[in-house]
Amino acid sequence: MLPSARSSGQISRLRHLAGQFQERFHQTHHHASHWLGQRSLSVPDLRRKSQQALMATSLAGSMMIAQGGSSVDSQLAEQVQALEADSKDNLLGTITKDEHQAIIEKMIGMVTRPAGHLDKQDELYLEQQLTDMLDFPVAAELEGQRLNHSVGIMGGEQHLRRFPSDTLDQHDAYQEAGLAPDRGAYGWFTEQGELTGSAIQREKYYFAVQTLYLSNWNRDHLHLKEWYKWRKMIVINPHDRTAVVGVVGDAGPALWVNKQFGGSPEVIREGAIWSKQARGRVLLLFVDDPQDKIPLGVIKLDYDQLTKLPTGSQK
Amino acid sequence: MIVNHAHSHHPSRAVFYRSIVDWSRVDAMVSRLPLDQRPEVLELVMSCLDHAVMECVFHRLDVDRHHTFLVLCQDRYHDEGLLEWLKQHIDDIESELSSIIDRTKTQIDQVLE
Repeated sequence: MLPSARSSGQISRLRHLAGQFQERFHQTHHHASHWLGQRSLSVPDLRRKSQQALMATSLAGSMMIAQGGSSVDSQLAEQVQALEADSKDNLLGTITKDEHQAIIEKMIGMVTRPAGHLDKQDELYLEQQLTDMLDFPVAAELEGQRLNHSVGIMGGEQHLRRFPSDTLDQHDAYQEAGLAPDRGAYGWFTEQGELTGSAIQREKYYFAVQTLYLSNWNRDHLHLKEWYKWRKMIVINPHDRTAVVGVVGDAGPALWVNKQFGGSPEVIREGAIWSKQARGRVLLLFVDDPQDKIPLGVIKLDYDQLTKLPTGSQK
Repeated sequence: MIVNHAHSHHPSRAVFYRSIVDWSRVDAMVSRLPLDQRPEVLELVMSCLDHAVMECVFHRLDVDRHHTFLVLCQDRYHDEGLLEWLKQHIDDIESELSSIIDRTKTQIDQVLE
């Protein structure tokens, strides 16, 4: 093999490995990933920013930092003290554990109602509470678009083919769910023919929604199809205190199925949508994320996990 | 613990965990590639190490302190004081990070073979 071909293979494999490390971090530490995403930062950006700051300092300052000089140690201690005080203030300013429990119970009450929408007052309450709880805006209606249901039953879907020659064994999880024979209603998941990391994530965390039953579908389907394609949404399973952020990736289910939403194998399993207590009953809302900062995947709604990253101290 | 002061003041190594990295091994990995490709390789190697270290820290650090750690990282990812702070809050974190860094370097070695 020519040296250049060999090195390009090595770099390509190294890029793949770096991508795996990155994906694993984002999958396992969703809250940290979300915190970084909100600031348009990645983990390596933290290092790069630090390097730039170091290079900007004087040689004397750099030496002191590099050697862990006492003035730097005291700066660190002061910052820790301020952050911990700030964190306590923020926790006091946000909802208490009892209030959080009350919101979860209210949502459990909501998902046991017949499929449809909440009344306006409950809907506003839910949107406000979830937006505070999750730290990003969620809404039953976005840019004038509203599905026929925000409360309903979510059924399990199969994997979708991401590109024409995709096969079940190329999907890395939940192969027992099978592979739908046709492509999804919004086409292939690939981007310009390439199976990118975000394309893989979109298929992993997709929802099927009943756009075909919207009253204006026949008239406005060209615009609606464009608007709903990969539209970010969140399913809330209050019984199991779990939510999953995903995208609209298919149309359905059919009316006769008596379910209002569909979820990918990852959504159904990781969101515990068909747990003994949930039995498919969920809330499905839009995520207002025009800059695509909210990562797809599972969010635990337990109080202890949600209150650790208060938004108030964002720099 | 492996301390390699001769290599530790390079700007690309301005990371809070620098005292537990054997930088000569990183240099050896990077030097396998042609000169013009080394900057990208070094960046990819550092990205792997950053993610591996951060995954371990978030796994072990009490969730009450995640936010503090993130803000500290945002301001002083280069500061070895951050490792000292982690040592105060996580038992044996230095040796755990050391073995994770070693494992990561072995994985990198394998893909660069």
